[in-house]
Amino acid sequence: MREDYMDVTGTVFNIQTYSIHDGPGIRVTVFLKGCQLRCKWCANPESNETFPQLMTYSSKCTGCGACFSACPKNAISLNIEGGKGREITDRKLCVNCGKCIEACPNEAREIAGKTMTVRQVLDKVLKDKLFIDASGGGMTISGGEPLMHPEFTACLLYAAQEAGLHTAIESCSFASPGIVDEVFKYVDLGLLDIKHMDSAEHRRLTGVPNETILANIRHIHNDLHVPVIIRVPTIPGYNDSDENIAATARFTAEELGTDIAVHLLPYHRLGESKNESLGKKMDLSTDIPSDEHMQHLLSIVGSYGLQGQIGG
Amino acid sequence: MHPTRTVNMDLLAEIDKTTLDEDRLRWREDIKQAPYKIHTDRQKYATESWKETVGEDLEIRRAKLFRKIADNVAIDILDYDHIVGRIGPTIIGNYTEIDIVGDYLDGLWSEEGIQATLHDKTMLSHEDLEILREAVRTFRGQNPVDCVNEVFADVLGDWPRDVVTAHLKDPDLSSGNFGNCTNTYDFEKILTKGVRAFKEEAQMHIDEFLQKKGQNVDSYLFWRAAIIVCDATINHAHRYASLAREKAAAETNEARRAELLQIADMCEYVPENPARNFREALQSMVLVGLAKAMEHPMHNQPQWGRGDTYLYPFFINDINNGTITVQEALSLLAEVIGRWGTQLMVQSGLHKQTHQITYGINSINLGGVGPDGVENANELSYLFLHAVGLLHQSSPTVTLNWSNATPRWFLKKAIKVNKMTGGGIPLFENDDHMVECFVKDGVELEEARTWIGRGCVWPALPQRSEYKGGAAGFNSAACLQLVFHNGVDIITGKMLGLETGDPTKFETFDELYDAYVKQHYYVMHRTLWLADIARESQYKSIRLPALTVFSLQQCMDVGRDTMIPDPLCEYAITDRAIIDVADSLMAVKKLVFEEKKLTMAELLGALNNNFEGERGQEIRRMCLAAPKFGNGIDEADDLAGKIGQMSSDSLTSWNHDPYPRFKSVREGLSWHFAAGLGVGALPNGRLAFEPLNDGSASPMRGMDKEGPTAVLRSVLRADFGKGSYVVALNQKFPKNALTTDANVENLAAYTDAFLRAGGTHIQYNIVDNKELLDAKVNPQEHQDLIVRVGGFSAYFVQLSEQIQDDVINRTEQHF
Repeated sequence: MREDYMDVTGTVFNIQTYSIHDGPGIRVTVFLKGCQLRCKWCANPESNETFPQLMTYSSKCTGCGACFSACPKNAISLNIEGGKGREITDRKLCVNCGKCIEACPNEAREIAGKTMTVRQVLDKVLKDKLFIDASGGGMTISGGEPLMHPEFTACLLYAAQEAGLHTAIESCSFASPGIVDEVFKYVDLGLLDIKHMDSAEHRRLTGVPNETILANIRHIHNDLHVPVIIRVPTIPGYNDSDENIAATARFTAEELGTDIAVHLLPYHRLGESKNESLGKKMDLSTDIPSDEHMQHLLSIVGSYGLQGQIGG
Repeated sequence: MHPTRTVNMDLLAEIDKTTLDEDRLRWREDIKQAPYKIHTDRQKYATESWKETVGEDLEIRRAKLFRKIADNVAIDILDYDHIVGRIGPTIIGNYTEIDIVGDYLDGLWSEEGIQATLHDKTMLSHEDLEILREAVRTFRGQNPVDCVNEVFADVLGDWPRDVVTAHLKDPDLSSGNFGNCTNTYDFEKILTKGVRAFKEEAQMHIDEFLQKKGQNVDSYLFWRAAIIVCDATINHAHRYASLAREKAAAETNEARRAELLQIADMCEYVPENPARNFREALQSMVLVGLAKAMEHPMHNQPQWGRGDTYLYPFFINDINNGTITVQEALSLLAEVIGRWGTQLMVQSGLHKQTHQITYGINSINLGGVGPDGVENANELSYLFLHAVGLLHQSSPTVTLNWSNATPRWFLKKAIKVNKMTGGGIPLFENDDHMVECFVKDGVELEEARTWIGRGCVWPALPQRSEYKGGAAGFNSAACLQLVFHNGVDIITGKMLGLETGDPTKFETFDELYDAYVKQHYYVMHRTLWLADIARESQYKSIRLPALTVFSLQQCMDVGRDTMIPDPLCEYAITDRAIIDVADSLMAVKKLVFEEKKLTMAELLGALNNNFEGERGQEIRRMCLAAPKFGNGIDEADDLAGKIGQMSSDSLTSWNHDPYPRFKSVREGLSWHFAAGLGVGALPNGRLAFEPLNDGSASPMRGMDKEGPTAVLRSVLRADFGKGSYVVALNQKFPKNALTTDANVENLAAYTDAFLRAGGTHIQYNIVDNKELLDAKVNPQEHQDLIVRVGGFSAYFVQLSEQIQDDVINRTEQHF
């Protein structure tokens, strides 16, 4: 590990405490900004780009016009509808300078993403050591895609392990083998996504094929001997067919082993409002899966002798 | 680590399988529909007795008043009762207490007025009203509230009344809520020796007095009164026995007839004699407990205290002998807790504003370290948790006494019950910390380990009298406001504080801080003095012989009523709104003295205008952006800790030898709502007359933005436990934080870690805001939705709209 690992920087968009769905115990989850994939259902669209971005929250906006006056680029206009004003930000003109955020009295705007050093992130994580230790928790790096920032991710994982923390990473496993080797040296648990077993479908849904991903998952578990959990974001109409879930389970059981847990993560709508906040529209027509359907998919996973679970 | 008890884990698994029986479910449906009946017959017999006993000794008069009530009030046995005895003959009801509190029912003198005061399901007939009015006329000037207020006015003029109007302190005294009204009874003695033993003890003292030609006639009269209340209590039970026999004779259902005969046999035997099994123990507790309601109706029953300790031998023997099944034990316990938790409390308008509850505040403590130094969590503790989880009631308050040896199975069950009930049941208090506080205050370790919660989270020693008097609530935020107005209160326009100087002339933050400290000490010491004056005045017009006999051995030994001043007593006060003051002072420090963005005059102008106008709004944004407690910001947390300690010092520095020092108990209740009515806009950004912070360590609403762990870290950093017995902290978690067993495990670990690190108290709301918003619009569909308001639970749909909004606005922690 490089000597100045504490000073390496990355773009962090959130550090979430009391995380209980991303690995064992009470964890602190560090979300990095930037991802190679563009999954149609992405729940964290603010993590797609590596640069900081403006987000606006229409439910908090009162249409007071404070941002309108503050914007140096005249990127903001007001739309009066039904007696209530709403701001509209022209993203082509916006330079993410943040002046409107200072002016907003209702906390209806914020910039997602902040450059931080490993030391700064670790200091924040370690503040919760009391709860982490008491619950057998640790630190999880999520995103975005941590492997987009191999240097920062490896340094942060190393630093966390040095501080006595259990480390986990949430990853799509899309990276060159060299990067995987470097980062997973410091990982105690990999939470690895498989979005679709059919490579062409995978490319259609996420923008990239799945061969590299599946090869990396095999490598991480079988060669690097890192414990893993397979996670399947379950999106009705996209990857929730019996065939796909069966194929995922078969891959896990046959190529990794039946002792590997498979978590089916039901689709939720959080990403939709975030897209709105970013001035984007989601190209997805789906719904939250029913409990019965999730149970049915869980039984398919179970039929391969695997321990399945709904949710993280 | 304390040693723990060996527990039969199979029994715990069996308890998990038990459910509410048919009778309980039927009762629960009925109680939702039942009208809340105010039974005026207690008041009628109290008045009659008072008239009959003119000229007699006060102790004897109160004992005879009790006997008249116990011998005559209407009783009934409902067809799903297996344990009998409730307040009045109807499913929910209570008595009034004009003989103690005087003319406390607002609007009593007009038909419309009284209906406005009472709960909307409560009806009073014209005849009822006449009984109550006659009681007011009879007890006017002869009840402790009137008598104390008279002395207050004599010593301090209008000040005592004005500070209540100004919301500088809460109006407990005006409602007769003196400390003893939340005493427990000595249930261990009642169950193992029977009421007969109390009577024999008193007789022994009398015999000795006569034989030795004793001098202390007051003691002799107390023992005479003790015999009267013991006989009356036994006779009251026998009335239930006769009624059960009458009902059995008329009963056609064979099984029910057998049950009624069993009830009759039981009520003839207990509480007069020692209980022989679990069923008799519960029956004995209920019947003796009714003495509390008949003598002093406020809060109805005595606190149950350490129920899982004194009931345990009866429970475990019956289970081991096979004379009771686990399901039967659950049914009986649920019946008693259910009834105990659904007793209406008739409150004055003022008191209701402070407490916002409909039910009496009763409390039970589970687990914790007993006098023998062993962590007590046992199978019965588990059964209690299971029962309150199934019952889903806002009352009683259930406290898990956390110790460093609290077993994880117990903690996990407690978290699961929180999930079942929507939270707050049970709440968690730090038993080790509490014991340490008592010991630091000079109490022997063994006695310290008997502490119980009174009402909500008020720690108290069951063998001590308590005279909190008029000092039950102190509003630090209103004191800060006095500083801003150089001692003048904005509500009354009167000089209620100290002249601490023109605030616009302060040149440094330290000057402002010193002025605040002086103001705080001034109002605090006067408030505590009121409590002393109350102690010295109230006993001249009130005695509580039944409460004394059944709760305080040391009083029985010397023949002294609990109301008579006794240096072996307890004193406590809630010094509240510490966080409001800390965040406000921090904002002034930053904006006026450090960053100099505002002058003091500008800030005070904005506060006086409630941040109105464009500039006002801008100032408010600056105020809100200043560092706030609860976000892990050391500077803000340290200031909160410093003010907390200063406040504790202000009350421990009050010297009233030979009485023990006041202890700081920062419970919450829904007091923050009423207290807010006396406080204009504050520099923390809070708008005028909005509620203050709930709890006592809870961050400003919506201003804890760093997640739940940051709040806990702030509370630990401020180290409130150093100067306080308990500082209430409320946290709200969404339901999805508790979906899996691993989630439950995590919240148990979180709770344990916080208390182990020195937290004094924590309680959770397990709800989602969607549910709360819907409950606001459709209360009918959410009748059983419980939310915690400060230190105890309430049904959400019964709260005022402002309090509902307040709960909704409290930051929901996301994951």
